[in-house]
Amino acid sequence: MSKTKSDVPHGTLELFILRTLDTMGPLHGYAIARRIEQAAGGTTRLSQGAVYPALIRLEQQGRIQTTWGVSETNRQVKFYEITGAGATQLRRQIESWEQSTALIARFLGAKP
Amino acid sequence: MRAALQRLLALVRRTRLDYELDAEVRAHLELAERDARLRGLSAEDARREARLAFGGLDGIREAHRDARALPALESVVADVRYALRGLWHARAFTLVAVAILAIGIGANTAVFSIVNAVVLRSLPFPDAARLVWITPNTDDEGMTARTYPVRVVEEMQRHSTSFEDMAAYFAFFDYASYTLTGHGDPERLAGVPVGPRFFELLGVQPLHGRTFTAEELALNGPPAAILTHGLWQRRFASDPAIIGQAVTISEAPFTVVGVLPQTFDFASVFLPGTRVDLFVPVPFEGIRDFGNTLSVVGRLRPGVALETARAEFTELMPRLNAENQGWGTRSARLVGLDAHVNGRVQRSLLVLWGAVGLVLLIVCANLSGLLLARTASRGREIAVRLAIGAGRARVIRQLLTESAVLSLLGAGLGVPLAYWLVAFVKSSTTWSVPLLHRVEVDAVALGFTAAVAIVVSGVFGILPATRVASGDPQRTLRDQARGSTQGRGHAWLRSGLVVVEVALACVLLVGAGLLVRSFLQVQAVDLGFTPSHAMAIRVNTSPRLDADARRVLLGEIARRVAALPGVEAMSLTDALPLDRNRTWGIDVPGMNFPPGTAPVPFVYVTGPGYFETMGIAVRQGRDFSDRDAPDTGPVLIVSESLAGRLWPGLDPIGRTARAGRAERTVIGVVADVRQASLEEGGAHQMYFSYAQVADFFGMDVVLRSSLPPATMAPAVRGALRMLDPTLSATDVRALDTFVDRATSPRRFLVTLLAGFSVLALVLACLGIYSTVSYGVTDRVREFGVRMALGATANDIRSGVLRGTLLVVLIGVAVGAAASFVVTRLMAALLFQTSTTDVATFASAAAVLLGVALMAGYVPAVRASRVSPMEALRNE
Repeated sequence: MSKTKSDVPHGTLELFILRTLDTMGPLHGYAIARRIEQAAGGTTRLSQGAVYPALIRLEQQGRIQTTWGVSETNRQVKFYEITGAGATQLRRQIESWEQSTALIARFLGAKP
Repeated sequence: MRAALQRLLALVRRTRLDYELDAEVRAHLELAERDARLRGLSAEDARREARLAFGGLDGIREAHRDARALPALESVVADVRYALRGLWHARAFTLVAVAILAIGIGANTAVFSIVNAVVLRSLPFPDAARLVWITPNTDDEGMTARTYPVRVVEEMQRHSTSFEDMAAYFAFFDYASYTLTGHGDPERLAGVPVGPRFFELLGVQPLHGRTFTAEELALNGPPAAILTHGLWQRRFASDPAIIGQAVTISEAPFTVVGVLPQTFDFASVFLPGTRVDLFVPVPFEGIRDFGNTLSVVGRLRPGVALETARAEFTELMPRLNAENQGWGTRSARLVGLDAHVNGRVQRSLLVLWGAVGLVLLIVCANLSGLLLARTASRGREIAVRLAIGAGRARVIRQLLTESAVLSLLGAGLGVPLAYWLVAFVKSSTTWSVPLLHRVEVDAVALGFTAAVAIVVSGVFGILPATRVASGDPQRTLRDQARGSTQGRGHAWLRSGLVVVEVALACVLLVGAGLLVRSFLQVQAVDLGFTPSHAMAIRVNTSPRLDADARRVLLGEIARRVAALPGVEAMSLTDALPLDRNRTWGIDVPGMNFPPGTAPVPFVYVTGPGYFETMGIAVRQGRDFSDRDAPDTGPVLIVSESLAGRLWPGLDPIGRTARAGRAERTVIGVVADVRQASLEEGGAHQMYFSYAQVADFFGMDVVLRSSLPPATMAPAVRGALRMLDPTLSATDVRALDTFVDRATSPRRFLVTLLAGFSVLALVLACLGIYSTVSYGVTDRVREFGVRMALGATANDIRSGVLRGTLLVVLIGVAVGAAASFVVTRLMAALLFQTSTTDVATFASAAAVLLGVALMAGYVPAVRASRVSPMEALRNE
């Protein structure tokens, strides 16, 4: 499997991507990668290339769709855009994340 | 689901997606570079930073592929493609391997088809497991001894609680004559008289019409007939309107009441190797006074085991004997109908199956050896792949894929071969193997083929695959670079495979050898008569003739046939050796045998000149003559063995015995003949003159002529037609064919087994050749060095040959030991041949050693021609 070690928990990279596309609209791969890097503020050790396998996975699951466009450097690139199914999935994932983080917080906070 | 589909699509779109990814990556790097430049980095630093931030490009690409496709499937496709490419490059190897596999798998499929149809599948009747074959408990081979009179059948039926019902057919039907006239040429038909509920018991539904009614089964009931599918097609153009119409059979009108389905082949179940055309009712009242005439089939009640029925009958039969004084001592042996039908050939077929399995094992060993050599020569390639990080499992999987591809190619070619083999076996009508008509390479057989192919590929592939992958890549690379000899382990492994091949071939050769020897022994049996240049032509006289008129007509027939040109000798007889038979009792005044041991001789009603025509030696006294007439003293001729039983140590001529319902004077003693089979000796025979005994149906004209039957038959027919136009003389049979038919199951087995063992020999030869040949190539450098150090060509050659011989000797020893055990399983199939027949074992060993020397000689010579200079320069 991949040798690109990411310290992000499994499945969170997809969540980041969906969230990014949801808030910022269609973006190309580089922009997505940069955005995640900035948001993480250097807390994760994630190589930029790692977004591409995640992107193709999401595309095959129908969560995002692609269109060909032109980059700032005048190259043909794919622009990714969240789909309806992706938005639904995103909401569901955020909910479940919030639930589990709340649970963990309560559990860890409830020290005797 | 959707993702899976997408992934499958991705497999197809693979190159496009790769291309797209590359484009994206290029754009990504450009953008990153641009941003870095904007932050003030130099062009070079910007590029480096962009790449660094992106991460390992190959890893991303791999992850991308993994994410978008089914990785396993994709790599299988890749493996198959790789295997095909590799096999295409090694065409000679592929050709040999696929051919070997095709032969092995094809032969296995064919034999499985036969075994499946004859032994494994249940009989073609509903609920066939409940059908039981019931016969008197005797070892006597005569037909009479294996049948019952009406009364016993009825009593068994009435008192048995295990059986739902019993039904019977008249076993001596080939004595009766059915001549069909009015629909084209007169034709003699084989008709079987059946008792009540015969078809119902078997569960056979007529295709058209119905089965016999009680009225038709009553004495003097309306004559009715049920046609087999074959006759209906052949003579009545498959016309369903035939139902209810009358056809003329033996000058009497019979109403056709039913046509049987094609699936019901009476002959192939009950009398393999014969043909049956129609069924007629047999009124039990009409044959009540006859002796043993009925063959009985019973259907067990649902849920009743055969063992239960057996237990019931061991108690029932003595009780019936006590209740029914005067019917003698009756017994019953209950055998499942399936066991009765395939019992005689089951062992042969299982031996065949085993043999063909051995052939397949040899094929596996052979391929294992070939692949081992191939993978060894690719050792460098594999070592490189291991060294640069391919997983061992991956490499093993790839090698196994190659085996599987080979195996499937072999199976693909093997299936047509199996079709051909099965067609060949079916085409020969002389095999009297039951149920042969339903042998087919069907879905079950093809499933078997597929399973065999998969298992086989595993068997022959696993050894080379693990062997190669377990090797130390570094050492392999070093070894290969130096061009040194392969490790010892490798050579041992290949020799081991040769030992296995030779041992298996040895077992097959010994088995086949024993059977061939038995076959020769059977062929050499003194039949008591001379079948060559003799033929029999069945004549059916009109059933309306009374006994006197028939006798006169037969006398006239004999006179006219004897006068035909080319006839060296001729006579008349109602029964012939190795053909139909019946037995009667014989009593000698003052001679009392303990119950069950009295001789029950076979009966022949003949005319004068029979012994001369048949080539049966007259030991004492005389043959019948025209002087033996209805009004002269009744006479009898007995066989030697019968005379020995009845008058031990005395001169039998002139003594009297009661047989055929009269006191008869013995006028001659003749040589014994083989009646029921070639193997069975010591049966008794007695001969009556047709002038003095009227109890016979149908006669065969037997004649001896150097002209072929095809020439003699029209001449005989012409002579008969001039005498009486209604006489039919359709069946012309050379006596040789009787012997052929009697030996056919044995010939069937011997032919196939001999074929398989020749195959095994060829494969073993190939295996030895390829192994030695590979070994020589491997050691070229060593030979070069040795020759440079003073070894002669002869030294090298004999060294290689000695090595080969040693391996083969071990194989032969192992094989002989295995044969010693295995051949015991086929003791029942042998005739006058010991399972440890020294000559057979010795010849098998000699043949194998001879073949091995031949196979090893060529590479040995090649080894001795190695030029030391070249071998060493090859570094």
